[in-house]
Amino acid sequence: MDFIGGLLERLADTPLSHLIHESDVGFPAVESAHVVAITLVLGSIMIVDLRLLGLASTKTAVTSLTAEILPWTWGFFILAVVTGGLMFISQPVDYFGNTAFRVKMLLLVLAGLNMLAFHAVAWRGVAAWDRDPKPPARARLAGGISLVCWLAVIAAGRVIGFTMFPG
Amino acid sequence: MTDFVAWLESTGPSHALRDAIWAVALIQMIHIVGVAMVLSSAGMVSLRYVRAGGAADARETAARFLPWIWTGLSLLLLTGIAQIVAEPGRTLNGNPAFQAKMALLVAAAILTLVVSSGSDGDMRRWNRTRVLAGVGFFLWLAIAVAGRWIAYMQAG
Repeated sequence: MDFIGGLLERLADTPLSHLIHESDVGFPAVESAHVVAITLVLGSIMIVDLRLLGLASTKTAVTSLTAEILPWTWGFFILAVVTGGLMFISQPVDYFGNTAFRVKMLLLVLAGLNMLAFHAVAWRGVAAWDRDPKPPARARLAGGISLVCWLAVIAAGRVIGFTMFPG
Repeated sequence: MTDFVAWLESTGPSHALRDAIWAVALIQMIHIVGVAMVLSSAGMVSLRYVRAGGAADARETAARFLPWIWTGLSLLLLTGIAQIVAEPGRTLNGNPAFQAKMALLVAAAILTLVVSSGSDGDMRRWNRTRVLAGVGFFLWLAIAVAGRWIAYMQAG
């Protein structure tokens, strides 16, 4: 057995994995928290992305919007990662082999890279366009990529549910 | 209700939606985006009420986010009805999670009306409005959670 396969098998045999997988309410409870967390991550990021695109909250300064919203986004993202991790642990071999799961992880990496690029390039000069109703093209591009990435993350997540638990 | 479920299941739109499995998945994706819009916008408004110095401050934020809440709720209503038409047996056959969700929705609607009519003329009443606004956000969370449990509570 290869290294990752062995690791996944061992993860599937942990008490935590059995607990979530075998209890009647364990998985639904974790999944409910995951859904609440991801919708709040998506919604709060949409508010910021739409501002960067110049499509909403245009009378509010970009930095005051991000200062208000992004701490919540990170909090809910951590909750989403923890609950997502618990769902993964309940059936690690199946999740790892699921194509939609792999696509979702790839999309999360893309969203992260976009965020890093945004901070390295557009965010440095934010003082110059903080109050502009329509931010510069490089900021609008980052906002657009982010919006598409996160909508695709949600879509891929929904497909995981359909392909892991058909019917 | 059982007769109605059987009739609805036999209609053309119900067949069409059920046969296109990806139509149901797509409708659910749009539903989730609607949930994201409503929860986040309601969260922004509730947070502002809880923190606000006065009603004018809270109303400014409410005015900014209410159109998004309405757009989100419209999406949820349309995609929710489509899901009921596609698989009426999941919800209309006495599913307790669905019934709880509908009851919570009525409560959230009433609460929203009460909060949006609140003024800060009387400090005690204003503080009560702010508490209700905070409660309102948790009602929307409960509605989302109840929605997720429809799948686990369905008969059979």
